[in-house]
Amino acid sequence: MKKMRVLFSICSLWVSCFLANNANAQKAWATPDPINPNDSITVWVDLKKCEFAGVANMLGATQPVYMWTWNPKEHPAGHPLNNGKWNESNEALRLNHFGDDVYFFRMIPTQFYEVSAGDLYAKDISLLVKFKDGGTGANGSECKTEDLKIDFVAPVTGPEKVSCFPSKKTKDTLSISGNDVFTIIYDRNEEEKDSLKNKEDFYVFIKARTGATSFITIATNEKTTGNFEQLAMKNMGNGKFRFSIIPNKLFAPYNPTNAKILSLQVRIVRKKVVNQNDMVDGPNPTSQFGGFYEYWLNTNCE
Amino acid sequence: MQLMKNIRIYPSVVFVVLLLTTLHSCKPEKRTLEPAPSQSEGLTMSAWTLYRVDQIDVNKQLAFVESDTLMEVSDVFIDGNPLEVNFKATGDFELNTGAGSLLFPKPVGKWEFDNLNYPSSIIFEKGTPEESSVSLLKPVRPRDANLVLKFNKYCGGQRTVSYHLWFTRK
Repeated sequence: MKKMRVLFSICSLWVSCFLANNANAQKAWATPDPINPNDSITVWVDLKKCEFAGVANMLGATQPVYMWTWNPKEHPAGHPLNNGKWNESNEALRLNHFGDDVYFFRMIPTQFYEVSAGDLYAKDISLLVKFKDGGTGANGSECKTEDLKIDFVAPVTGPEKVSCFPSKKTKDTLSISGNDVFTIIYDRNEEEKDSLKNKEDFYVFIKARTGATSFITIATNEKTTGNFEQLAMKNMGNGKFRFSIIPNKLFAPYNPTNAKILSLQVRIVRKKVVNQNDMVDGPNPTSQFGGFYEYWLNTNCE
Repeated sequence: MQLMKNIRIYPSVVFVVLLLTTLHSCKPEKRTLEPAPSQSEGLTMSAWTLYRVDQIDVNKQLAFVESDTLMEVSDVFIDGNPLEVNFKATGDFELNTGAGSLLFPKPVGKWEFDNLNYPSSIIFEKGTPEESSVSLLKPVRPRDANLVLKFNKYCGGQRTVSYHLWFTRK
């Protein structure tokens, strides 16, 4: 019996520490981590971490709070899991109070949202938390949180055609800054295009994002990339190629205003590009040439 | 009769004497340990030249082979005259600003071991707001040819990446 009590105490301490750790880090999160989209998950929201002014109306409240969610999918009016109306949330989306203004909601995400696991990983979960009536509260602001997002990173099931080192910390963001070494790895063994198999003259057309629509480039486009030897990939053997840079150092000659680099967009091409057959397709099948692989740098610490 | 008795005793005495002599000669010599080699001396007896840099991925929880979490990036860091660092017995250090120097907090400053006899890290600028430390991945005794330092980079209290810097004596 004494052993059971000790075991229970240790488990409680571990759970408390785990929750406290997550709570310190985020406003909204999901457990377990990583999730199984086809299994139960718990969505957590810590109101004390939220910043919208209306949250002050909700802290310590005794009345129930509700989830209002629109990604990965918003159910239409009439659906049993529709959000309801702004002044009258759907009772099915009521959150449970864990204590200390932390709320949770259990669901199987693919069933709750009626989406595939791929959709969930692509769109993540967007939500806010509100009173049943989200209207103006005592302090003049609506009784709701700001928009919250819970990111999910799709599990890697095998070798990736294009990957990076160090690996991403979250879905699209690196832990490293622009002063660290960043490496793109191309695994030609995973290539589906016959035109690229057995080829070795790979270059990286790379753009440094400095704003919503502003970029710094070294080569002006894919076709001129092969003119810049500093953009050549190194053959690692066994069908793999790598391109390692210190972003701030590589772009320094092309960045006279010293604009902060937010992300890197890359497309792998052959030295001589005639058409699409000489380019490695990007990750997004709906974009031209599959779009770019984009890696967001950690800009909090240089 | 007495003679016969003595004849029987003598071989036993001789045997015991021989046995004792043999045992005495087998007794191991008393050995003493040399004093531990001074790692301060090992660190300060020469300058050090950077020749290899490994980057460590701290985001991967599972690694099946070393290359999953470690990549040699020497060619990126050492693209010109390599970094040289000189730790002096006076407690000062200085480095030339060669390739790879950006990991050091300052080009000149103070250093000390965390433990003089059994060091595991070097502390820079101890007791100042610029204090930082690097781990020693191998001992740096006078007979050691290499110095291997581990630099951890942090952001918001979380480790973001690590580098292993390999130096050889100049």
